[in-house]
Amino acid sequence: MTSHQNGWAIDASGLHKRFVLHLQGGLALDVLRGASLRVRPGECVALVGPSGAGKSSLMRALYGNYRVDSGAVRIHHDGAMVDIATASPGEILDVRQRSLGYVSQFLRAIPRLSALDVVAGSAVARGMNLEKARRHAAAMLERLRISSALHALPPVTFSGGEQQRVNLARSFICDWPTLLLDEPTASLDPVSRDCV
Amino acid sequence: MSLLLEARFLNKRFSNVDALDNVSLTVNRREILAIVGESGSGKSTLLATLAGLSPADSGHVLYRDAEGLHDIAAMDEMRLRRLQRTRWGYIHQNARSALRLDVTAGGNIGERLMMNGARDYGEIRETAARWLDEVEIGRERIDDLPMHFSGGMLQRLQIAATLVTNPELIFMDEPTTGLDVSVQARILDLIRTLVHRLHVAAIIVTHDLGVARLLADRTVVMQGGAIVEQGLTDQVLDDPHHPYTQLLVSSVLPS
Amino acid sequence: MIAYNFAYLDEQTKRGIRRALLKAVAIPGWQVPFASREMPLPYGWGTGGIQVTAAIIGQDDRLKVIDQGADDTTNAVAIASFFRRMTGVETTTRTAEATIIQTRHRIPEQALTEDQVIVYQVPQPEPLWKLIPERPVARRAHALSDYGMMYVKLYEDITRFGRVSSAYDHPVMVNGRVLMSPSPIPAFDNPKMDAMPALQLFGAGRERRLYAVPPYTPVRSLDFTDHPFHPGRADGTCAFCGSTSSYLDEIIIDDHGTRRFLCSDTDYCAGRIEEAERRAEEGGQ
Repeated sequence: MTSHQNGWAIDASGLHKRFVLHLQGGLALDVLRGASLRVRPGECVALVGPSGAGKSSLMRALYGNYRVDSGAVRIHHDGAMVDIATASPGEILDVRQRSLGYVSQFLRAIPRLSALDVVAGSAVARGMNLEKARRHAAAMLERLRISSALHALPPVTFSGGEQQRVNLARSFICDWPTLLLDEPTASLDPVSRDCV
Repeated sequence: MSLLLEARFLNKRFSNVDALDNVSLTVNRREILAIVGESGSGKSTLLATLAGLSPADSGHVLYRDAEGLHDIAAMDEMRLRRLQRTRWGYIHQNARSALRLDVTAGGNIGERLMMNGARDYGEIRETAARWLDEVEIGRERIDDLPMHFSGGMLQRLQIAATLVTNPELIFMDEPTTGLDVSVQARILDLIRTLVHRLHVAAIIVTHDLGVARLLADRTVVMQGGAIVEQGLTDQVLDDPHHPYTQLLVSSVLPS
Repeated sequence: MIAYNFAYLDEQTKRGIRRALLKAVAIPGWQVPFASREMPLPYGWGTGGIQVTAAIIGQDDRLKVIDQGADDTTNAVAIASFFRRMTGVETTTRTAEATIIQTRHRIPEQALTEDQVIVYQVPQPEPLWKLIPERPVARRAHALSDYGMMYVKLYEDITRFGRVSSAYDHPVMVNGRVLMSPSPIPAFDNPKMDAMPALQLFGAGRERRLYAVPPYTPVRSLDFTDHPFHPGRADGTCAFCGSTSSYLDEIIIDDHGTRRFLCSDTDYCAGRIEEAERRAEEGGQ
């Protein structure tokens, strides 16, 4: 593979993904048909399209969340390209741990954890010590307009928009070489959206 | 990732039911693996077999330590027991039957240490106190009898009594089933935090996909004693391929 | 009069017991099953000890029988007279003169020698019986040397009562391998078991178990490093012989609760008194 400078951060090609819904009598849905996408390091690419066009599916395929039927999803990791489509679970976890961040539309966290710890936890998982992670988390939440009064509360009690910003803070707290954002501003008011 | 435990082609029959049907799986160091399925799918049988508590009819369970791979069926009982009480741990669904209710909280936590040769009362006590703080029971309860503890506290005590020897692999059988929902979340958080901090690998049997989602790196789905699907937890739950997995996933009530 | 075999038991039975005893000696502290016979006294009165003594006693032996240290209590007198009738061997109350000492709940104060055998009467041979009610499970624990729960009990004792030793029947580790009940001897006697020159044999008639500690075998009382085992003794002086180091019985001598301490080992006490009298005479002459 080419070196980092003229290489790709994401190099996905020929992606096919078909859902077979066994509970609906084997109904087949083709959500990706030969999709390809290349992104250079430092580049910001937006996927635009109507609802149901397959934007989220592509994002999930890039993250390895959906297992593609054919094609390759090569992600820049540790100076080489790793094909998520054929990588072992351990390799995928390693790529996700260090090279590839993902923000979904929905926040998933252990119910009683405070917003601060939900955010800090993602930095701790990547090796930061807890005190430092908490300071960074607080700053990041402030920046995303989550007032400090809410930091100690579990995000399940938050509004949809607040939850989404907690989710974003969780990813933004780390420096991701590659970050996938799936509808990051879907449920945000205009001010928050601009802030994000 | 380095291999810690491997099952190869495990089979076990109870009268005319396949409790385990050619089950193979691996567990890596520091990894959390969930085994999901409904009751009767063979997941608890699998866990007991992996933990060396109930032998399979055929197949092998291999454990790797610094010296290499060991078939646990070929280990002498003394060695297997020592393994189960030092480097492995087993957390039962029912803490009440796993703990000694007429022995103080400190004694329950100290038991595994004493089994492994700890002979300094003061040190045992200090370690037990530290663990009581760790699992949020509080060291001031060290001389209390667990018979007066709530279900959640009992489960936390069992976790402390198991993790006290710093095991590298713990087996958990429905660790939060039967507890109040509010208590469940706290236990799950505790397990997640401790497992990550102590770098312990875990195999969790659960019928609750939410537990798998929150804790497990990988998930295997069992039906009728066989593994029908496995992969990263988010893959299995968000992109289920097998009809049975799709049924399980679609049966979860939205939260 | 019915003619009994020497030492009451028939030769086959004695041989069976001796085989079990050899096995017991080979695995110090290990409980060996044996075919316990009906004896002409009820269980709990020393049937196990009697069978062991009957299996090992010979024409040239001299037997001493004690109960709680005393030679003159009913149980001791009855057993001594039983063996006199059934074997014709001499009995003695002198510890030093005996070749076999059958005992209930004490070890004599005077140190035993290689030429002696001490036979303990044991009501409950299983040291784990209170912790593990199921016998097969307890046997497995012995097989695997899995004694963590015994330490849990000691931990609980310290936590609740502040000390490690039970007053009697405090469990011992034999040869670093097998947990053993020393029989209900006072904790005070436990240290005498360690590296004792005499062979120690234990018989539990009702429970049908024998066990043994060969001469010079390490016997350690269970304890914690920071709460060492402490053999307990009443802090007093024998009212007869003035001993300040022997194990004492506490006796209430009147209705006002006046207490006196006496040596539990009657032979030891009598020996000291004789010795004192002899010295007094020598001094007087």
